[in-house]
Amino acid sequence: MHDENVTRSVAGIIDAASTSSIEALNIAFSQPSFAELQLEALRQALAPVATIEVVGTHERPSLRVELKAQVAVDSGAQEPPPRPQPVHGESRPAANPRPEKTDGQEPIPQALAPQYVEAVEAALHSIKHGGELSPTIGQVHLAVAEGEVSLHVNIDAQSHAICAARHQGARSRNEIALVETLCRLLPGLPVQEAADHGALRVERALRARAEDRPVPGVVMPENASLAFRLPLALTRKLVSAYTEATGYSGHANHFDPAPSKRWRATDRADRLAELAEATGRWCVEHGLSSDAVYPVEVLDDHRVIFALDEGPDRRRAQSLLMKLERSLQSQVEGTLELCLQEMRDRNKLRQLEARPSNRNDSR
Amino acid sequence: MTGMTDHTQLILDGTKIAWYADRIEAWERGERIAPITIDMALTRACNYACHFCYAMLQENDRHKITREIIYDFLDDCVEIGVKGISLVSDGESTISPVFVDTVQRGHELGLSMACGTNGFVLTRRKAESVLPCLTYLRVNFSAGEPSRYAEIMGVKEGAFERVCQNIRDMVELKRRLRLDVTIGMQMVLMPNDADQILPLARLGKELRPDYLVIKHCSDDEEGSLQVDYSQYHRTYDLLRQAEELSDSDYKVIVKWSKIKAAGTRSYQRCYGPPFMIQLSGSGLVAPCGMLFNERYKKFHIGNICEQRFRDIWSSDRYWEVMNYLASPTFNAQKMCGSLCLQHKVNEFLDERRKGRLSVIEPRGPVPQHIAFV
Repeated sequence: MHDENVTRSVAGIIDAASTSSIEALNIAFSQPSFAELQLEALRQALAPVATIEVVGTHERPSLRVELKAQVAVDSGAQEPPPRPQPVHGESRPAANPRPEKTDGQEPIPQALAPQYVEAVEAALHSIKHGGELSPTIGQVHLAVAEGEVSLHVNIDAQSHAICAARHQGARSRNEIALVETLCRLLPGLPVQEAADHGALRVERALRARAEDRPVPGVVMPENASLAFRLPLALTRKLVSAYTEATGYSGHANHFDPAPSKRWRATDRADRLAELAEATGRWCVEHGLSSDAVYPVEVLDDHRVIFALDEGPDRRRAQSLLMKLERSLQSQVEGTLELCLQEMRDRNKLRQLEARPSNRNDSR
Repeated sequence: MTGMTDHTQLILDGTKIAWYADRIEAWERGERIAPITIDMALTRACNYACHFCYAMLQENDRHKITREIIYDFLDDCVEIGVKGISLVSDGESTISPVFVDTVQRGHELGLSMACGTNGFVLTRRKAESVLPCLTYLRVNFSAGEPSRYAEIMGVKEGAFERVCQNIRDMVELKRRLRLDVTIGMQMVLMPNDADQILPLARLGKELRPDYLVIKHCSDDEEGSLQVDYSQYHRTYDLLRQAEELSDSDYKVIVKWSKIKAAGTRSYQRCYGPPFMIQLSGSGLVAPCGMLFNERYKKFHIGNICEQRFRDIWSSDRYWEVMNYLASPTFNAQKMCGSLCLQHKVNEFLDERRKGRLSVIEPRGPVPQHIAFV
């Protein structure tokens, strides 16, 4: 062990092995070293890369490490784009070629779980946001960096919304995919939203299917893979740099993406017809009758009220509705929110007066 | 000994989530954590008709929670690591035939049990059965005068004196038996009922519960209960006068942080439900009471009348819903009603997720009612 910290040292060994063609390895310990090992923390940190099992004897404990098939870490690395040129208001990129420490954490292995492979490949095949970004008159031009990777943006100082974003310096395939996706998502977002949820948006955009989660509990960028600390660090540095450059005193975040122009321009009848057609198609694809679920109203541009035929098992309704919502968001309008008709209070004593007329009660 | 030996440790206008750093860190690692607190009801029914009652908006497919079901549920809660169960939610649990059994069984199993009630059926005999097993009991009491009580809470005037007597009896029982239970009264304040703030604060001083808490009224995202949050500021002077009626054994506590929030939220993702979920009196398991109505079916995880809670908790459906609430798809500012039960927990966790709260450091000694975050 070269590192005084046993856990970090073992993580380094496994991380190095994950970049090779090795499929499994055994790591032997002395008893005192094994006693210092933070096994659960190691398992959590390396979950996307490897499964770890304790083997050996009490006197001579070992770890059996099975490496998972995954997105290559540094193989296939591209030539790094040129370093950014300093511009007004820029935070200078750090000279350290290793990933910087973030929130006191150690440098991170850059592996991604299999759930992200497909989108990483897609991002790598369509890189449109690498390279330089010219300052635009009337917009604040900023560059921030995390290690070698830099993020360049133009921000509208009135609305605090990001107008354009580019990346430079990403070397590994994962880094490139992460910052390419980040730069694709940033335009239109207020700088506060970028800092608050930019990494979350990147994680979700890179996961092929929402229901295919890399952790058993609640997915967050940091627990999905330590690699997501890159967009997290960049976006947080961005809002700090923006604050420094402009005196921005935000924090309050009320960003709510507007419906598309097309959807706003579509009238009620056409909206319902489009939704009915897409829903009917989806029902058939999922083995239901075409009118098992059908739209009855669209409220406030985004909330679609559906009625549920008695046919589908109501216990399955929850998962069906989640799936249907995702389908309609991708096929019809990204901001749609799906609800059923309201059920009225059955308590005879209570009376609800002066209820709005648009609630679409079912009974 | 009383349940309120140190009033500064009773957190009613905040969250105790910071005392659960281990569970927060497990959640952040992507582990499946058990809720610390479950708020639930044993029935959807109620013998009152308060005009501000959110339960009017929470109807869903009703099932009957039997003794067997609730006993299984309590066993499962202990097994997975739940700490406290409050019987509040969307029905009057004291009128359920399994109310006393539930409180006693939960207490025997080591769970902290609590109850929010209108107090009408909690006569001395019933109170003797449950008070020793409760961490707190809170009586919803939103007026200080019989006629206004009847008007606001949808009952006959005679109910006012009956509940007052029940509170007197409970306070006497607590003192005589030296019980740890905290007895409270609660006013759900609608701005146009502000005339009752001082009469109620004075009534509380006479009845001698440990506290009177005055809170905002929640409303749904469409404003169905027509709560006018812009009018709460007109009540501030009366609320401060009510606070001044506090003495060493009776506190008037105003939930200032929620009242002043005026129904707004600083956060968009909802991170609280894995730590604090709600069950309807129908047995429905949902992340939040505001999502009980059949309208929000996509958030409905299961029903303890049909499936064991431990299986619901460990199901993909449970975690799919929790993930949805924490995803960019969900926006609590737009999709939720105002000032939900998880609001303060959400505020804390959102600050943590945004990197503004890097260290989880609870201040001061462990507060009372720690199982209710």
